[in-house]
Amino acid sequence: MTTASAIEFGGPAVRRQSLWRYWRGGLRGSEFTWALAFLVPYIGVFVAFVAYPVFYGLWMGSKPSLYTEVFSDPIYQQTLVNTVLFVAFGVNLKLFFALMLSGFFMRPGWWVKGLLMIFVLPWAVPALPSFISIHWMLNGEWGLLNNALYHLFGLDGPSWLNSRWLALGSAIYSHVWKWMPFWTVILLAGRMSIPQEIYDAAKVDGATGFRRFAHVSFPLLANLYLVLTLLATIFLLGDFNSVYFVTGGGPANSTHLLATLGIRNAFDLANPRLGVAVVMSALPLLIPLVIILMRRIKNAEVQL
Amino acid sequence: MSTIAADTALAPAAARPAERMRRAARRWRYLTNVGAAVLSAVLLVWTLTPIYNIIMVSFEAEGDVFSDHLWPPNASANSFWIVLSQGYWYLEYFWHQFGNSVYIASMVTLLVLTIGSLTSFSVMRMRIRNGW
Repeated sequence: MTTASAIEFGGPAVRRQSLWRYWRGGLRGSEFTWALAFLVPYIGVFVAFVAYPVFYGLWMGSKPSLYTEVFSDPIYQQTLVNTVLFVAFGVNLKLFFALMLSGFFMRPGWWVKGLLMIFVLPWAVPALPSFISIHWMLNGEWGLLNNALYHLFGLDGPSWLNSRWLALGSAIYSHVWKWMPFWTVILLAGRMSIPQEIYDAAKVDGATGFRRFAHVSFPLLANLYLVLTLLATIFLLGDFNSVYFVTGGGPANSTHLLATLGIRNAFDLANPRLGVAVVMSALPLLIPLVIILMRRIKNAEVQL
Repeated sequence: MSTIAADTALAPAAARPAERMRRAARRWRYLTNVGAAVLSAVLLVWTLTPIYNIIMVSFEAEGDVFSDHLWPPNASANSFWIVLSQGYWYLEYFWHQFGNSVYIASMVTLLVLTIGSLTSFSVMRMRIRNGW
């Protein structure tokens, strides 16, 4: 481009150039080529292992007749109730206790730190052995829990996994057991980023104990707590281990979640399309959650 | 009761408010320490029960799982030896499977680190302006 034409078409030429620069993320010449080369492996993995399976799944679950079949299945209706209960109790219990316990772990002292290290064990131990262990522990006849109840208190415990509500409660218990440490550590980090001066100022104003929590800690943590709730809900809807290995969907398929029912339909009933349709039916809930989360995550830090 | 008597009865208590506050603070600190100790005990039991169950079952002799006990009646490390020496038909390929785990773990670590650091480096340099 000559100087004359640059002056003549000054406006559009400059705009096009800056748009081009903008598109290349402010990189020039060979740097942009290198950046593209560095991105190629990631894009390849993303297309092969994220984009392709998602679109394949959408295609598999695209027939409307699948959904009439799914919705008329009585097991599916039970499963929906279970999933709602699992989300409502699982997410709220673990996050509420995590919020409270993160306050406890803020206490000074070496033994609180030691306890924290023991407390994060459930999260660090692989999921499979611990869930199989919980399955055995809750066995009505030989399980550790009922043995302990009998030997320590002389009580005959129920068979935890043989009724729908107890079994669902057991699955929620194992999920909370496994994941509460993780959220506690995250909320602990959130609490640690609240400057000490704010607490000092609150102390001068006479705020102690519950009032300090209600008027200082919680308002500062509220945004983080909301983001964590959304994130935990999304994680939990994809959680399959804590039901599959603790109750196995039983008794009589009454404690399935959408994820485990999808596995059952896809593999045990050898009907992959039906399994995909079950999991897809959670999308109307999942997609808004993800959108809200992405808009919220910008202010996930503790806000002053 | 006359006003003079009431005044003299109140006098010693009102004379040392600092002492009273210090005593209340000490009592409060004592109560929170007891609460923290109780909470710690509950947390330990809550956290360690399933993990204790894993360890207990792994040290039991064959068939003892189906008996009523709180610790292994005949503790032995026999199960570990059977696993390590591939002494059961179900575990015939234990070391091969162990190798698979090591192979997968190291390859995943390598690939994730390589691809992830390449990507994060160029994303940082490209200044993604409007973000999400």
